[in-house]
Amino acid sequence: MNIIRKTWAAVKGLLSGMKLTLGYFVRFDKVITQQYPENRDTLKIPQRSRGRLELIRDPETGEYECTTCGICVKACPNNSIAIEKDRDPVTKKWRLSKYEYRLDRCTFCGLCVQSCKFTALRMGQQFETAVFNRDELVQILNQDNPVAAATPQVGEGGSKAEESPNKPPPLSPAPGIAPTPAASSTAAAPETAPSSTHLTGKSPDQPLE
Amino acid sequence: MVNYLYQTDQLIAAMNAWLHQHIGNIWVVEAIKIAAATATLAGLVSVMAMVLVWVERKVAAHFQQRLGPMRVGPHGIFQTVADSLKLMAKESITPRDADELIYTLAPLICFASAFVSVGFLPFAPGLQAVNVNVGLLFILGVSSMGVLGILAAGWSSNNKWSLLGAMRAGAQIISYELSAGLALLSVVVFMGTIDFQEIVKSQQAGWWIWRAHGVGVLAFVIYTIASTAECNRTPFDIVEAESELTAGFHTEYSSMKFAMFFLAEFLNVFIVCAISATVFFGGWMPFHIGGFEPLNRLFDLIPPWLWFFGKVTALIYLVMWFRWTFPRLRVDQLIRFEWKYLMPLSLLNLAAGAVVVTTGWYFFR
Repeated sequence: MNIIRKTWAAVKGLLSGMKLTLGYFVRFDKVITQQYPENRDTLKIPQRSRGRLELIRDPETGEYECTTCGICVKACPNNSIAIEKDRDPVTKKWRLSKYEYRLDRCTFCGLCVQSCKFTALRMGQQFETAVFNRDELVQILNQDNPVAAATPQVGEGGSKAEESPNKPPPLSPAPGIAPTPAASSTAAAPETAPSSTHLTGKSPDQPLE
Repeated sequence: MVNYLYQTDQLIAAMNAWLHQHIGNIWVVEAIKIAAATATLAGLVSVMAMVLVWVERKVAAHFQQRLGPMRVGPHGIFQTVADSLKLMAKESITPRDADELIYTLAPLICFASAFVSVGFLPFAPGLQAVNVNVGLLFILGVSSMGVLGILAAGWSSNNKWSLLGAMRAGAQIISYELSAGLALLSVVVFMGTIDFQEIVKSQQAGWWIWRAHGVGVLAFVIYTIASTAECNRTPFDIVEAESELTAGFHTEYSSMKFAMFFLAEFLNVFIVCAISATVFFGGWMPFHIGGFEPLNRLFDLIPPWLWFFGKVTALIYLVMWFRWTFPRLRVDQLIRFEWKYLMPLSLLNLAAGAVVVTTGWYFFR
């Protein structure tokens, strides 16, 4: 008798599985696939999807929330982040002079975002990040910081290439994606003043040429 | 002319008469008939395999909430054409120490056994390439020759894991042939014949799946399970699943030889579904309900070969539904299932069928 009960339970299980897949088959609206790039105009990216890293600004003051603590640098498993900071001459506080993010190394794990205590980082929604020149993958994330732009910098083992004349314009984000802070990477290498501190995960590394 | 679409036996008779009239020599007439039948079957088989591959991919995709091929042609209908061109253009590699003669012949054995079996299927009243009075037995025997091709492929590849996969496939297929044969036998005791044309004609009063009530339904279930295992399809595809022994017995095959195995597998699915449709669901017999004349006339509007292909399509869809719903059985689980559960069940079913037939407790005897 036990075998009949078990057989009946097995048959019911099989039939319930078949009912589920039949439900998927007949509901065309439940299809998950999106036909990219035809649907680029109406693309909806899930909010928690992990795109390129971005620095978060304070909405009122417009300054970056980053306090240059360097926890993200230590948390990154493969040295994709490097920070340079210097002291504000007036208030004697640390301020961010260069936030270097290497897109060619980033694994999009999100550990930097998780470890940041000041909610200064997020993984944005920009995924169309292909470039023609690999040097462009080493990106400076604090581009519009007026302090970083104004401070005179001396070139290091230049990781950033100059604008090559044949480089095509960077792809603007697809219209459906939430706007991200502009983070184009090909500015001339802003280097720190002699009194700054250079923070990387391990010893200073040369960018891949 | 439209009448010939329905009365295909008259169509065949007319063509036969035309040939005899215009060509005196009967040997030449027979040769022409053989050539024409072979060419038609070859065309049908190729087109059907292409369509089946596309259907499999789309059906699989929609069962998994995705879309399948969409880019090569509208909704990907030319995907199989692209795949065939790719397979033909690939380099055909023979492993270094492989047994070359057997290595080349193995896919041909599989394909030949499947292709020959297609010739026995009754597509419509006269549309049957070969009509022997032991049709069902013959088709079961010929389609069993596919095992030889699989074993030969595994051995001649000079690859330990191909051999292992081939041995597992051999064990699986010959085990499940027992249950398949016994399940069909349970219905043969009702029909009293194994000639395909007579089998279909005997279902004029009703299809055997409900006429032979419990026995028929159980025989259908057993036959579906056993034939899914015969074709090496999930949930019994441990032999050739990609994540298991790489690709099983056809790991070392590329290009056209692999295409032959692939084609033979889809043909096998078609053949078992066609046998199932013929024996259980009436083949080309339309669905009639005794007494509802308008309904019967409506169903008669559909030509018999369309009934046949419709039933086979529904059964193929059922087999694909199994594939994309159920997880895979381990090889020891599937062998145990066959020998300890399915075969005793099919023997009991046969005994029950014999009792039902001798006492006459079935519909429209």
